[in-house]
Amino acid sequence: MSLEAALYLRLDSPDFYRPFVLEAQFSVAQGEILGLLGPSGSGKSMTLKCIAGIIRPDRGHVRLNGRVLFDSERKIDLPARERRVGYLFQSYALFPHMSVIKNVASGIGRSKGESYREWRQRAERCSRQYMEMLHIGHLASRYPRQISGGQQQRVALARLFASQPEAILLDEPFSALDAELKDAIGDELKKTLLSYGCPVILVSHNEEEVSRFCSRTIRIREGWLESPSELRVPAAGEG
Amino acid sequence: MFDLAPLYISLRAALLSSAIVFVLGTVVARLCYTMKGRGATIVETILTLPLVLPPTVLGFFLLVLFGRNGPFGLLLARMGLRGVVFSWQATVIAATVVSFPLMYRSARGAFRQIDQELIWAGRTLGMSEWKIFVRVMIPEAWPGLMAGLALSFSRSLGEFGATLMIAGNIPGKTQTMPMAIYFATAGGDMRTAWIWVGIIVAISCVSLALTTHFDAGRKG
Repeated sequence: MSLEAALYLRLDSPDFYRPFVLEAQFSVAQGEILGLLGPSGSGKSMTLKCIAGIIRPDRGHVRLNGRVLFDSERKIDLPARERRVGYLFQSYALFPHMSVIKNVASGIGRSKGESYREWRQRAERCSRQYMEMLHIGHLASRYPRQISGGQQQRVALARLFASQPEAILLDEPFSALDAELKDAIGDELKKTLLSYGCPVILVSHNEEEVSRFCSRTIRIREGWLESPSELRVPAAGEG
Repeated sequence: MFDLAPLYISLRAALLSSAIVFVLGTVVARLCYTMKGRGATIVETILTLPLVLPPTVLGFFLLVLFGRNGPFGLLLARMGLRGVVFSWQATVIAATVVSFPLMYRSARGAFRQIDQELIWAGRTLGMSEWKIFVRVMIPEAWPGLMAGLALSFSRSLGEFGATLMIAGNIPGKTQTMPMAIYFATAGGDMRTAWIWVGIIVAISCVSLALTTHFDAGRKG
């Protein structure tokens, strides 16, 4: 059970001096936290966005727990909605007009044969559970703009867990936090992620952050390049 | 005795057309939101055309479309609504067509200002496009949508050319306030004209103030 990705993406933009080429191949095991380390503009976030279905690579494949999320040869491209890949945005992207608990519950869909009431009750129960786990239970009726950056991150994480993703992608999760908060949250976040136990990819430009947080690190260098990047690790099961 | 019928007829046309245009403009703006390329330009041009065409030209087209032998005229006749032209419904149709581009463009602008990450967050969380539209996009775009509504209301309240073409000037039936002003002035009845001018200026000021108010709330 793992996340497996092979991506090739070429962007020709008049803004770019040279075409931007991203070539990446890697896999992440269940319960593993893979770090993608590189300077900004090196294609880290783009890699995550390809996996989540936000950007479409030109070639390659993404597989998650045996499901094909993307395969250019077989012309498979699941929409982001159906991928079950949780994405923690750098800005957290909390819905400003929803209270904390509504935010957390927003990704809990109605299952088949479930009545509206049963669904709402389950959503509330499930949201409360993750909010308690992340110590934000007392913020339920607040709005995102009324809580601190660290609290916002917890809300975004609770929302992520509540949507039951099969893989989690963290885009610079500590960039919006001050150093003190980063230390306090880091260890706990790691513990929570490991206990959830799905493949996790963390993207960062900070070496120390990645080495403390991740079980394995891949470096991305030379964001603006025409030759394949250093991001080449044999996937599990491939030679 | 001063006849208040034009006020009632104008308000009815403006309120009904604003309600129609609010829903239609918002939904169409959402549908066009993801369009790109040449197709988008063509659709965009068609949807905005009523804004730049002379109202009499619009009225002419409406007359052709809704006339006894026009496609919509025949369709409505089959649904049991005969003779839309020169009826009070015609005032609503004219007001709807001229104010649609204002609502559509306001809604489109408001949707474009939404942080794309919010929409992508919704998608990666498994929310349906409909749920994202209702629970994320509309609340985010709300001030812009309200500004568009106030703008289209003002525009339909002042509608003259297209209304004259398709609804005519039947006192007590299709005579709106702008119509009453024109015919009162033409007939030398300056007192009546002054009263209607005053009422329109007052209503327009209020709705423009509302527009500005909502516009100010757009960022904040």
